[in-house]
Formats: sequence, C-alpha cells, structure tokens
Amino acid sequence: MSALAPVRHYARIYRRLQAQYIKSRLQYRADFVVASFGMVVTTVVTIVLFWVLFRSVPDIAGWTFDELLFIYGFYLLAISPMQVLFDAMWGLRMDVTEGSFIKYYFRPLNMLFYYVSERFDLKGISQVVIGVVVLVTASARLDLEWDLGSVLLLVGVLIGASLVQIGIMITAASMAFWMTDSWPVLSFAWRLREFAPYPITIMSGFMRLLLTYVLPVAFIAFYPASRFVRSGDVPWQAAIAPLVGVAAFLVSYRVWRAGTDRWSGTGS
Amino acid sequence: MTGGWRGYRAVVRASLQVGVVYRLGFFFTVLGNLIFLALTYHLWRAVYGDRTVLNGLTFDQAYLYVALGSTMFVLLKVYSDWDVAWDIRDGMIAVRMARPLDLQGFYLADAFGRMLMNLAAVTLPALLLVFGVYRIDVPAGPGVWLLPPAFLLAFVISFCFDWIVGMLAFTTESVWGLSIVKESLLIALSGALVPLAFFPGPIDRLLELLPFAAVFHAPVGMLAEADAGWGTLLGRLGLQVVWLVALWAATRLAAARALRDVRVAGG
Repeated sequence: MSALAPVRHYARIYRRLQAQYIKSRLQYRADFVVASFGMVVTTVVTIVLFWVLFRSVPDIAGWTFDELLFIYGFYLLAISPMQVLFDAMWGLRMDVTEGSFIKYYFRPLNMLFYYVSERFDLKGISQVVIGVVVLVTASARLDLEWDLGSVLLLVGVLIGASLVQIGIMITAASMAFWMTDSWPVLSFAWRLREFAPYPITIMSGFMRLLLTYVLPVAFIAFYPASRFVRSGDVPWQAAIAPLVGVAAFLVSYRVWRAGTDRWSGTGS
Repeated sequence: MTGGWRGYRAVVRASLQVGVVYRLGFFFTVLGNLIFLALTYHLWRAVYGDRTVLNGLTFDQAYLYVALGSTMFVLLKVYSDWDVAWDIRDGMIAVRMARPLDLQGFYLADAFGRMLMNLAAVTLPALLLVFGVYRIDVPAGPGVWLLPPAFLLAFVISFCFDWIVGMLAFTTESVWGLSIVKESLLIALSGALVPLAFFPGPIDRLLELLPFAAVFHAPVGMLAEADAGWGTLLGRLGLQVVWLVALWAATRLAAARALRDVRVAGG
C-alpha cells in the first residue's frame, strides 16, 4: 500500500460528498444567482468607496490607491477558501444544539474532514473571480513584475493567509461545544476579516498589537500582501505570515478536538 | 385605541426581554463595533494627515459621519428582513396575522424593542469611545434639537427597507443575498463609510435626495453639521418624512400582495 492511499481515499470521499451537496443545491438556482450578485455588489461598492476616498487625497499614510487595491484583491482570495470550503462551520451551532452532530462520531473518518466535506459554498466562487480580476488589475497598474518563482510564492503565501482566516473561524465555531449560543462569537470572528485589508501601520500601538498578536487579523492580508507591493522592504511579519497561518490552523484543530471530545450529545 | 397600544407595548417588552437573555452576545457585538470605530479613527486620521478641512468637513465632522453612521448601522440591525422572510416560509406569519394587532405594527414593535436593547448595550459604549476617549466635538447649532425626530424617522425608514427585502426574499428564496445587497448599498450610499460630501460633483447632491440618505446621513448630520442652519436641517428632516410616507405605502402594497399568495397557499 502506497503512502498516498489514504489521501486518495479521502479525496474520493470528498468528491462524492460534495457532488451530493451541490446536486441538492441546484434546486435553489434563484438563491445562487441573487447571493452571487450580492457578493459582487458588496465588493464593487467597497472598491468604489476606496476610489471616492482617494479623490480627495493622493495617498493615505503613504499608501496609494493601487497599492491598497492589490492588498484588497489579495484579501478577497485569502478569505475565499474559508467561504467556499469551510461553509459548514456556520451550521455547527445548530447541529450541536439539535443533536444531529452525533452522526459524525460514527464514521471511520476524520470528523473535521467529514464535517466540512458536506458543504460547498457555490456563491463564494464569484468572490474568487473578482479577487483574481482585482489582483491582476492592481498588479498591472503598479507595473509589478512576475516570474514563476514569485507566482509560486504568491500562491504559497495565499494558502498561509487563508489558513489564518480558517483557523479563526473554526475556533469561533467550535465554541458551540461549550456555549448554548455561540452565534455572537461566530459573527464577531466573521467581522474581524473586515479589518484585514487596511494598512496596519496607520494604527496606534494598542490597535496594532491587538490586530497583529491577539487577533492575527493583520496576517490575513496586509502583511502577506504588502511584500509583493513593496518588495524592497519586507517586514519580518510578512516573512512569518505563512507560519502564523499553519499555527492558527493547528490551534483551531486542537480546540475542535477538545470540543468534540467533550460533547456528549443532547442527552436524548 | 388604548387596547391596541397596550398590545404593542407588550410586544416591545417581550422582545426586550428576549434581548436581555443574550448578554454575552452584546459583549462581542460591542467589542467588534469598538474595534471598528478605533480602526476608522486611525484611518481617517491618516486620510486627513495635516489637513484641517476636506470637502468642507473638518476631521471631527467626517469622523462623526462615519463613526455614528456605523454605530447606527449596528443599532438598526434588528434582522426584521430575516424574521419576515422566515415567518412567511414556515407559516408563522399566519399566527401573527391572527392576532388583534396590525401585522406590520407587530413587527415594528418587535423591531423597536430590539433596537432599544441595542441602544443600551451597543450604542452607549460607542458614544463613550467617540466623545469620551477621542473627544470629538459637535458643532453648536440647532441640529441637536432635531436629532431625536430624525433618528425615529430613520428607524422606521430602515424598518421599511427590511420589510421590502423580507417580502422580496420570500419570492426569490434568498434572504442572505438580498440582505447583503441592501446593507452594502445602504451603508455606502448614505455616507456611513465615506461622508456624502466626499463624493464627486453632482453625485453627492443626488445621493442626498435618495431614500438611503434618510437612514444614516440625515440623522447623523444633525450632529456632524449641527451648525448648518435651520433651513438645511429642516429640509433634510422634511425629506425624511417624504420618504417615510412613500416607503410605508410601498410596504403596505408589498405586504398585501405577498400575503394574498400566502392565504391561497395556506388553505
């Protein structure tokens, strides 16, 4: 048996479960169209507002419109894996309260894997598309040079950044194992991502510490993306950003495990 | 109709009590809002740099528009659109229709109770940060007197938007999508993220006339531009009244149409 066998096994199960879910979602075509449209509107509105702001000032603390546009495009891509692949996390609190979460204990699969495999957020695809368009546009306006190495670096750094977002959300969703209503924690964690595309350097000491070390929001977009915009001066936080992502994910997995070990059903 | 009023008061009280149960929830909502206000403060400080006035607004005025605008956004976020859509879908609306209260009146009273809860729990800490910590100045002028009516009008107009979205969501089966379109247009076009004065040329004038401006721009402007003079401020208040009447009529119509379908389906 090759070492890759378990990976192939899991990949096949993942495909099957996802196909099942997507088939069931196809009934709600109007919802898909409206929701995708909603995501596009939100993103375009944000970019227009940035543009309006930059009509009055040439730069914000030294950052130009194009530079922030690049960081925003990176941000859209960094939050998309959470949006698209880990959408199931939103349902965890209901599954735990109602007891239907019990079924995940009885499968010979990794529970987190099985749980997230059952959902796939189709509308999130529109965010990936806009993210790519924004990133390419900003990159062209900034005359950034790309080669194979830097593109691979971008992909690697993006994966690291997306793990920060995923880690934050898994941790928040897992609070459902301890709390009767974890919605506030979840929606707070979700709101944190809004703070990610702003230059953390405009913050005062306290806010900078909070958004870098307590809530690792600055590692979702600003630090990892800024190294491509200003390759001349890469802050050390940018260099460790992917490690922060891996660490955030591992911590969240420990929290998830502690939660699933602790939970014992609704008692019925 | 004293009996009717008692009914609505009971609804407000009940929704307040439900709110109190979720105290922990408020802690996180407050925290999220305070972080956002602090971030906005530093962002706008960086935008102004060493300029004192941009587009006719001082830093304090611009920050009031965005800080109080986003605070009001949280304050008015009472999920009436979700309630209406879900109640129609699972038939709960039939129970509400059977009550001796006006249907919309019931939802409005429910929304009012939740808004009051938000006011105490979410808005007070925000005001403390803006006025206590950042020491933002409100210009002296008549606007302060017009704030309470402007705020109440904004609350009902926001409720009308929610109601329309809830009704539309029933037909499209998508609350989430419509709700975020409503939120992002509302918050952007009513100057709660970037003050309307920053928008180019005739667009800022146009946006002032749209119903979106009646929700955040008009009430917050009573403080941010309190010194604008009775004429300008009463004009904004009058426009709010016009939009309130128009939107309320629209929601009545939307409700009548959607509920006719419910009656047929629920037979």
